[in-house]
Amino acid sequence: MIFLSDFLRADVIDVGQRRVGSVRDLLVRMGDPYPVVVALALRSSRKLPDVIDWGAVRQGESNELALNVATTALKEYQATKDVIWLARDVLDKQIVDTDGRRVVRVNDLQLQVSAGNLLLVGVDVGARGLLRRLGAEGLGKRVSRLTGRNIPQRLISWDAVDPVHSDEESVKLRISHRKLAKMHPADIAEIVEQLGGRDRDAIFQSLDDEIAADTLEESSDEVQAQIIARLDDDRAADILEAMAPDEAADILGDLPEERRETIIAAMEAEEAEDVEELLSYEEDTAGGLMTTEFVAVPAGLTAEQTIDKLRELEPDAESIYYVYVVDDDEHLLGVLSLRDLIVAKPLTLITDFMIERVVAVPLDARPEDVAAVMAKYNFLAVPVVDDDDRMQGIVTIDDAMDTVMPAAVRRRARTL
Amino acid sequence: MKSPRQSAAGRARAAVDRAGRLRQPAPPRRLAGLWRFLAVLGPGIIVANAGNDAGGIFTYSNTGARYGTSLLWAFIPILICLVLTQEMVARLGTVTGKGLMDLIRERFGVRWTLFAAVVVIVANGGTTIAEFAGVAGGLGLLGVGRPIAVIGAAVLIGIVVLRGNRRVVERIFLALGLTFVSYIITALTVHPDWGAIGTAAVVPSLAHPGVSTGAFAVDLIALVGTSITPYMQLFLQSSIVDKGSRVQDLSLVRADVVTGSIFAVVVAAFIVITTAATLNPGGLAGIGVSSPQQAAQALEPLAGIHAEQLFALGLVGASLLAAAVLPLSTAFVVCEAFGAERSVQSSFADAPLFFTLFIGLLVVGAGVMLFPGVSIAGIAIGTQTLDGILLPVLLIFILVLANDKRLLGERRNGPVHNAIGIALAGTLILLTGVLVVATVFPGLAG
Repeated sequence: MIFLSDFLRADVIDVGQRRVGSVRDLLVRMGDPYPVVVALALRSSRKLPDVIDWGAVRQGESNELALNVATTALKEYQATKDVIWLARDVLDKQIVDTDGRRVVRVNDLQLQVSAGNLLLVGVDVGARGLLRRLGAEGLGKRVSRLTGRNIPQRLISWDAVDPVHSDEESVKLRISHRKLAKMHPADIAEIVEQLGGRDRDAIFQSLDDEIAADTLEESSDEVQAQIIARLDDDRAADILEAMAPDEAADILGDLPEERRETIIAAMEAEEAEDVEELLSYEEDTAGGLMTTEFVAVPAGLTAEQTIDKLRELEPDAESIYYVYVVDDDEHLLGVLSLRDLIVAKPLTLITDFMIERVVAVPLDARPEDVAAVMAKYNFLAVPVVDDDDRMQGIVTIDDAMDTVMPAAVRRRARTL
Repeated sequence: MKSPRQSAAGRARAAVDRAGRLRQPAPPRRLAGLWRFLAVLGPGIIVANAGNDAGGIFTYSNTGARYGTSLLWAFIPILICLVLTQEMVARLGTVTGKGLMDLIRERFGVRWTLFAAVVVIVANGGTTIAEFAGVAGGLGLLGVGRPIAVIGAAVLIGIVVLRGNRRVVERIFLALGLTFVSYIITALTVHPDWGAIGTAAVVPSLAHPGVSTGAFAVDLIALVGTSITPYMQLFLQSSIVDKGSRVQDLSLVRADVVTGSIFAVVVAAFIVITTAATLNPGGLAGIGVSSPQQAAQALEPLAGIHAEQLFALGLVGASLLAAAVLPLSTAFVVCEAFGAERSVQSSFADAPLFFTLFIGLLVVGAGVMLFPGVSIAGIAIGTQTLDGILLPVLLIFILVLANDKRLLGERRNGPVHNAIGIALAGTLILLTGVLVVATVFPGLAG
């Protein structure tokens, strides 16, 4: 197997077998499925070009590269934007392993000759790569022979990684994280948690608002605050708009007041209003826990009309299970489950089969008690009412779960 | 029209009343405000506070006892260097969003990273030993035997870090550490000669009667090494990264760093002033601090017969906090640099390097104090000298990184920054040289 570390510092010799310098870096052109080596960065004391075309190098041993043209004929390689430096931009950096769904560090890069081209085919993320870089792979082999334990070669195919690659310029280039964007938001969230600020910025810039919002919802509180802190106001507002209002309010609640206000000011009026209302409740109460996205219908409708209304509203997964029946002043009259609605004859009035004894919680109820109510009655969501029994929102099972799960389970490891 | 509501069974914990509503409003959370305040305390202030740990207390006490106020002037250059070093680190963290070890790995490759990791492990290992010396010293003053104190603390830290709610515990320790502000009050109650102190603070003096040049170099390196520790830099950059500060907030980050540094150096200077006035009232006696009892005497004018308890409380709090944070953050940054699995929630098999480092540092830290006859003050001060010797290594990495155009662009170091950074590294290397020469040839310099 050939590795980038074999090339780095290798001697470069001219057509007359004289040493002219050494290899500083290899440059590849990003391509599908594998990037192709296109140029060589040279470290030389002579007046030679810094970067030369790979075509000027005779294929051969990796510990000594022979040029096939006279040094006087060498010209500076003109790099295009899709060319990256392997040692400078990829080696030692963090990279997303999209199959393993985690962040790994590049210890070495595996190259392979194919049809006359040198291709970048894999990433070494294991201890063998580290030992090779230290020039101690032989030592490692001897140790493993002595101990009888094999030091595993951990290679990941290049087509299963997504370079994070977060230099100032490449962030501007907006490298497309296509592979990453196809992953489940919960997996993206886990990866994002393992990355540093600028790398996170790079990933968030490449995700569309919807996926960015889903990813943010799946992240821990601390990481949410960190990510939003580094986004500019408009982009933060766009992402928060795409989130459920209660989630958005939670994130905004953790921000410093000044920043919170500028972001809310950048949001669409309707979403901003929802979020501001939710922010006015204490965090550790039903009011702070609830979302204002729920389905409420007037009493006069039939089952069929109600289902039509649901189609029109397209409620989120968490809020579709219950339809609340309210009067003109939003007083809670009854509740229908999705099941009741579907099995009812289309023309039946909903007031005929709705459950009138609705269990609700007040705005200032403690989260533990809300969760206990939901557990007792097996609810997927419970309505929240104000002192006049007017419906204000619902607490959904996922948010209630968070409050009763042991804190240690939720808390992420990274708190230095 | 009011709708009839379901009434709930009274035995359920979720007591719902006849209206179907919970009648247990959330209790007012008065404490929440305090926690929230502590949560937003700037990393700069927290890190500076962490600097006043066991090693710091003993080193400053020793400086005051041995040299009176004649070394006070050193705090001005120390403050300048501390602010500039922390500012570079804070800037690196804010702009790149990456930790210091991460940047070393990405900029210098595997070999240099291994070197830096060894330096960090040795320096932080030394400091961890100092923290356990602090725990042993503090609990010793409260009448707890050394083996019980040290093993108990190691087990407690292990459990808290691997199992428990660390955030709350951290804050309790931090609050205990704040009792060292009592040095400032003590200094004001003993009415020292402020005129002489003012002069000593600005007029440099290298006089060290009764102390050999080698020992003087050791004390001076320890003084710098405990005020500007390698781990403070790692810790500061990590917390800034974790906090997600933005480039736009750089001026706030700087203000935080400057405030924290000034606070730390003022507390340090007052420890020296207090110990100089109480332990060395006759001027330059040349006798340092050799035991926690002796160091605690400095607080007698304030706390009377309770001086030892007050000192012990602060010492135990500060030491336990640092003893928990040091092994954990060291294991974390080293694993991060090598791409190894790192999480207190993983199993040993998944994250062998992480747990080996964490538990290893705890065991070494606690283990040293179990050897019979080990001097608490000696260990606490000696490890600070080690920190001072190793600081230039990290400082050079920081300087190179802070000059990297690809990393920082227009925000890289200016000439003044570089000059002071190089001067600090140079001074420490020079002092280490003096120390080596004075140790090898004791007769050379009186």
